[in-house]
Amino acid sequence: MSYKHMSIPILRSSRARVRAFAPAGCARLMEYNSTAAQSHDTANAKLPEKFPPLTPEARKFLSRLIRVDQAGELGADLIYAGQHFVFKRRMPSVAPLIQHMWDQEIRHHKAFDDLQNRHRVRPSLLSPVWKIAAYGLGVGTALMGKEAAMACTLAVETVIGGHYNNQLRDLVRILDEEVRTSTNGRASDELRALATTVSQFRDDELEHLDTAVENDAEKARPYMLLTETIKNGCRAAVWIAERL
Amino acid sequence: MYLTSATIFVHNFKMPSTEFSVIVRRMPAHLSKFCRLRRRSYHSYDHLPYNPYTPSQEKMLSSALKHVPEYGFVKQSLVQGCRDAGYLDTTHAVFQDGVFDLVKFHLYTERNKLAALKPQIDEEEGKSIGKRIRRYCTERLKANEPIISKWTEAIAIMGLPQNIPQSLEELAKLSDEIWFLVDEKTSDFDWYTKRASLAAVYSSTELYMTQDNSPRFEKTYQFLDRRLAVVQNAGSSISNMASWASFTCFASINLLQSQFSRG
Repeated sequence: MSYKHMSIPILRSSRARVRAFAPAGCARLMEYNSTAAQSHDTANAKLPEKFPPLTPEARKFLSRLIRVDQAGELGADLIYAGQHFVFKRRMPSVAPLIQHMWDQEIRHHKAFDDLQNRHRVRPSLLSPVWKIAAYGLGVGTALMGKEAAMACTLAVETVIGGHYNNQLRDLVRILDEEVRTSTNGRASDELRALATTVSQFRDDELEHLDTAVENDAEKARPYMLLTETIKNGCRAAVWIAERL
Repeated sequence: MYLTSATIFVHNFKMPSTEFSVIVRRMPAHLSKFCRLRRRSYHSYDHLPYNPYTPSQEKMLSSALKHVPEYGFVKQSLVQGCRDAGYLDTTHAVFQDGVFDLVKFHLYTERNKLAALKPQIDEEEGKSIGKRIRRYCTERLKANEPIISKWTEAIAIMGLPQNIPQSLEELAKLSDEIWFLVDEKTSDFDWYTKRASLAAVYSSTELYMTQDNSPRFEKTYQFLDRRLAVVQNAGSSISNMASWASFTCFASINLLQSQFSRG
């Protein structure tokens, strides 16, 4: 699969940049899921054959994926918790919006917790640090005002959206290889389900990004300082959480 | 505005490659042997488990284990094992870590036998986590009974500086295996404290077992019970402490709020 035909447009809005890569994963996933639906033989159900063992590189990638995504959702959950805590008391009109986004993050967090337990991946060692930092960020940006809180959401969701995109790209590559080397032309259910989950969560995060922009995120002052600080903080946290 | 976007634009686009291995950077071969500590923790249900031993290695090592009660964890057991498996005596050189490979194989096989006991233990001990952990530890310790006279030798081998990282890794894997088999689901720092405490309990009990002469190792299992009770008490006292601290915190906040709202 060649990526040369895709140019990287330098666009004004960060979300458009992220969106440019969004279709790539989705099309391939739909292809995998439809192949699966066709080859599923309900009349002659046998026990599914096991695939050959994952390579150490694949296992390392998958364990890092689950660890960092779990830490990311934990952070997002607590950022919204912090923002909700402040807005419920100061600006009750904004609270329902935050609550809606928070509910989705709680769902994501729970999904990754389940994946982490099921696949016996170790969680991030610095979980207490992420909890304190995320709650503090949520409370801090909410105290700065509604626009700052939305700008924080914009920054975090941009980084997370791009990060999920990268993971999806690599996951699709693993799926390609599995399909290539398998006997019946299918990839494993587990990995396909993981890719679908990451894709859905990526779409949810981009939706939050759009919501933040619609709610005056770009009117926050100081915009560049705030968003770039938060983005770089998130990137550093992602790098650390992958390893620790 | 375009210029600003261009200056702050960050390429988070990875260069495409046909080889997956390029995505995750590999360590150079001459350094990777020092980093075997890195565990690839991801358990797959759709894929066959990763087996670090080839079939011939497994054959040689399992035959060698049969000779351990007689010779101990020495090269002679490995040589006899190779002979029984139908290979030349000198094939033992395949095992780069020598007798430590034999010790590791014993740890690996005994750890993997625990999963088969899960249905029986779940039925007998029900939902109690403490009792089930005790059962798994007991079953694992029983596996040491046939070779307990040679186990001090094995501990000495495991304590050699070049072997310590892998020995700790095996202990960590055992602790993780037992917690997984009792269906424990934690996602924060407790994951580490639980495994560390169980690893400490198990290793101290195993050490005690090497010098225990009581019939059927009764004193060892009593020692195990005492160690597990200490950990459980510590766990419950920490959670009581946390409840107390959070209650005090919220009560103080409410008190302050009521002070400021007056007048």
